[in-house]
This record gives sequence, C-alpha cells and structure tokens, in this order.
Amino acid sequence: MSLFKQYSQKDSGTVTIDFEGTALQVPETTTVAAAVLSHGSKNHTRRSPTSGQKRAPYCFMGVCHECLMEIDGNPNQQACIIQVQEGMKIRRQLDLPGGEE
Amino acid sequence: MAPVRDVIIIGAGPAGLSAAICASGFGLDVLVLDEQPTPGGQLYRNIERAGRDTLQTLGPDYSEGLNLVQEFRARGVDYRGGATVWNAETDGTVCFSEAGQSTQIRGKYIIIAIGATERPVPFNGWNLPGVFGAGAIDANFKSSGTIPGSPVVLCGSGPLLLLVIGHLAGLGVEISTVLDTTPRGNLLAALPFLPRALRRTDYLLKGVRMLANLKRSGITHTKNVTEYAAHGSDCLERISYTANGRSHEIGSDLFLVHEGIIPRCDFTQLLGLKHLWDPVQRFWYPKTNQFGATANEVIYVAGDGAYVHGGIPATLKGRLAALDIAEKCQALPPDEKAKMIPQTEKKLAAELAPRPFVDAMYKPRTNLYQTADQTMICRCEEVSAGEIRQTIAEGCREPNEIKALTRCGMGSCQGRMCGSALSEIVAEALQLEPEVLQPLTIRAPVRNLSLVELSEVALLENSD
Repeated sequence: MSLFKQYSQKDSGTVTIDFEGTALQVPETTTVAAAVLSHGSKNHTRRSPTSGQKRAPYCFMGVCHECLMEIDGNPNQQACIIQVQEGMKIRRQLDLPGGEE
Repeated sequence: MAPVRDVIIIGAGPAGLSAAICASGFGLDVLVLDEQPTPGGQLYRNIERAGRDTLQTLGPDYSEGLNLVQEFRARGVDYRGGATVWNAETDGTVCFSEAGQSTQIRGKYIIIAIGATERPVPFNGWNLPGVFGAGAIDANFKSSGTIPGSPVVLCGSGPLLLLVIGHLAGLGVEISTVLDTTPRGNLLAALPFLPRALRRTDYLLKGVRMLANLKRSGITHTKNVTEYAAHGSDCLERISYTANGRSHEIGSDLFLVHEGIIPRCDFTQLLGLKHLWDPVQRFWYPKTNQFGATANEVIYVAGDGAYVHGGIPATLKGRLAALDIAEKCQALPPDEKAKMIPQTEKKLAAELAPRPFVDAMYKPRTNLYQTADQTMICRCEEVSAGEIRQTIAEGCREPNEIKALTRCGMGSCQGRMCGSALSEIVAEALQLEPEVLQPLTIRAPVRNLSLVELSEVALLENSD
C-alpha cells in the first residue's frame, strides 16, 4: 500500500507522467514527490548518497532536500515543490555509494 | 551592471505578498521571487488552485489568503514563481535560478520574506521513510491534494500540531494517537502572560476549541511524553515512547512529528547580519528595527523570518517594511508615512497580544536535543550525536570546527536540518547557552545549483 492517497480528484484534470518506465495518470496540480508517494508500495524516493539508506521527503517545503529526484534527466531536483507536467520523466536516485552507475 | 529594481522581495508568502502590494501601490518597481510555482508561501500554499473542499476543510485561516493572493495578482507585480534565490549580497545583489538558468539582479532594497520552518529535532529513526514533519503533511496536502493512506501517529507540541490534527481529522485521516510532549509545568509558567492574551479572546478560544475538538474526537491523547523513537529496517514499522516515566511501543506506517516553528535564517546569516537568540522558543532571529530594517540599510526582513508571529502579523510586518522603503525611495512623504505607521503598528500589537502566553505555553521541553549517541544528527552526511560528542571531548568548542571535522552540516541541505541540533549539543556538552556559540556559516549558493549554471552566471558578470 502507498503511504499517501488522493483526497479528492474532482477539482482538477490529470496529466500522464513516466515514473521509471511506468505511465501514471496523476492530478495536474500535484507535486512530483506526492505523485510518487501515492503510487504503489514504493515509500522511498531516493537512497542516501552517503550510505545508500532508503529515504523519503521529510519537510515537504524545500528545506531538508530528502526529496531530491531525477526529473527529465536532471538529477537532484526538489520533487516536493515541483509540479508535475505532461510527459515528465521521473526517476528515483537509487545508486549505492561507490557502486557502478 | 545587473539591472536595478526598487525592491526585490524574496518569498511570496503572507509577508512578501503584503509588502509587494503596499510597495507597488506607491509606484515602486517591485520584483517578487519565490521558489514555489504559485504565490501563497507555506500558510497559503497553492491557494489559487484549492478546490471548495480544501478551502472548507482548512477553514478561514487558509481561505483568507485567497484575498491577499488575488489582490497581489491584480496589482500586476513582476512575480517569478519557480525562481530559487541562491545568493544575496550586502549591496542588494541577488542571484536566482529559473528553469535551469541563473540571473543576477540588484535591488535598491531587498525584503527577505522567506518565513519559518518546522524545527528539525533529531531522534532515533527520524531518517526512516514514513517519518515526516506534521506541518509538512499539511503543506503536502495543500500542494498535492494527497493525504496519509493509513492511520497516523502524531507527536510533539505547539499550536501548529493542534491545527494539523484538526485538518487531518477533517480530511478523514485516521489518527491512532497523539503523543503530546508539551512539558507539564508550561501552563503555570505561562499564566503571568494570560491577562495580556485575554485581550484577544478570539485567538485563545480558537486554541481552546482545537483542544476541545481533540478531546471530543475520542482520539487517544497521551500527555507528558518525554522521549520517542522510530524503528524499522527500511521504513517505519514501530514507534516507542516514554510517557509519565513508562515506556510503550506501537506499530505504525506513519509518524508525524512537530516540535515548534523557527525562522529561516539562511539569507540573513549568509549576509552576516546580527542574530539574536530567543531563550523561550530556542531559536535565532535576525536583529531588525520596528520596520524590519537590519543594520544594513539595503536589507529588510519581514514576516516569520524576522520572528515567528504567524500569518496575519506577517502581512502587517511586510507592510511596515514596504512603507519604510517607500519613504526612502521618496514615493511616500514623511508626514503621510507618520500617519500610516501607527495604524499598522496598532493592528500588529493587537495581533501579538496572545503571543507571549502561547510561546510560554509551548516552550520546548528541556531535553529536546538530549539525543542518544547513535541518533543521526546530520541526515545528509550521516553524522551521529556520538561522533559530535567525541569531537567535543577531543577539545572542539565551535560548531563550525565540528562541521569541518565530521562533515555535519556539509550535505545537500547545507545544515538546515542539523544546525540547531549541533549548536544545542555543543552547548549542552560545554554547559553554555547556544547564544554564545557561532551558528554554522552559510555560504552561497544557498541552494543546489549545477556547476554549468554557476559558471554561466560568472561569465555573464565578466562580460559586463
């Protein structure tokens, strides 16, 4: 089960984003982090570059930087304050430290 | 030279919007920069796109922001959403990043209106997915319309915690239990401030109503919680806590923690401005005068970033800063300003009447930062309380020294999550007050920036 769910969808239209190869239809007003956290059973949005620990956003307001994700090929984007857009490609940064890319 | 504007406002929350409305009303050339995609700050986050359901559930504290945002939009102020400011200099120079490109610009005056943040308090397991700030969940709901998908445990102390409990209950989120860390003796210590607070019975009644709703809801409200921790291998599985001296454990997927609100001081610290320490609420805040002006005549601070007072006071503080700047820009005659200032100050004083009571009532517990040695203090570089204490035992006395030795505060959040804790741990070990210590040094860029983007701004400067 996902950590978050949509409260009410009737207020907005939807867009389709690509999350690690899977097409997701999400409300157009949602953020990248919220879209990922309310999808499937994946409750981590990155691995710590220091130890590889699984992490998820903590502050949701651009302070903690735990939400950093790869958006449209650009790494380290603040997923908790960036809104989804049609066709956006989103990947979690799951590399283990010292590991192969 | 970079182009010059009359006023550059950093942050489009209550203070920034109000300052922009006021300053543009006097014909000043205003630029508002904000990292969120839409105006409103944290309090009124995403309010332009909020549906009727959301406005109703979050109540007037949220919905009244709509007027402010609409008035701001109607002014046609130059506003850049999604613009992340990453540098500010004492001469009014500001650098910001927008869609992967950075621009340098200068303001005759700068108003820093970047607001406040939930106080980051490290505890065992706070780095596990499933552990969030309680206010964070509120902010996330505003910008995404998503709510916790399973029952939550709420924990901590402060007016915002009560507000979030009300919001989540209104949204139908199941609250398993509320673990209240408000120290037992706070009410007594707050009583001397009650008469002044009673000037604003409406404000106090709001608090009383929130507490009554919590009681009526039947949610378990455990008081006198002194310690808590999160456990799990890859994500949160269990929460342990101590209440009234007895240990307990509960299972949960979601743990929402709130230990008060502190000003965001990254820019004022970057600018080397003087900061003062609040011994009740235990936070740093920049030294400003009645208008929010700092010792540097170009730089103003407005809103919760100057001191945590809440949303309505933030709008009034934004207005005071704008009036002062309008006078300095000769857009407002001194005698007219002299008439306008007392009206705004009177309103502000009325709003602030309950604050000393509320601040004393929710004074943080004394063991807030007495974390176990294994607790991770710096989430980015994964530095434990034990490693920090070890360097202190070896003779380090300054947070910046410890940063250099352990990397605590050197990761991508740049010390925003661990800075307070680091100072408090050092202060405790040396039996000092944190105010005698130098906080972590902040350097530009204060937000993550690619080297390519940084190098292109530098080239632009050289070509001038």
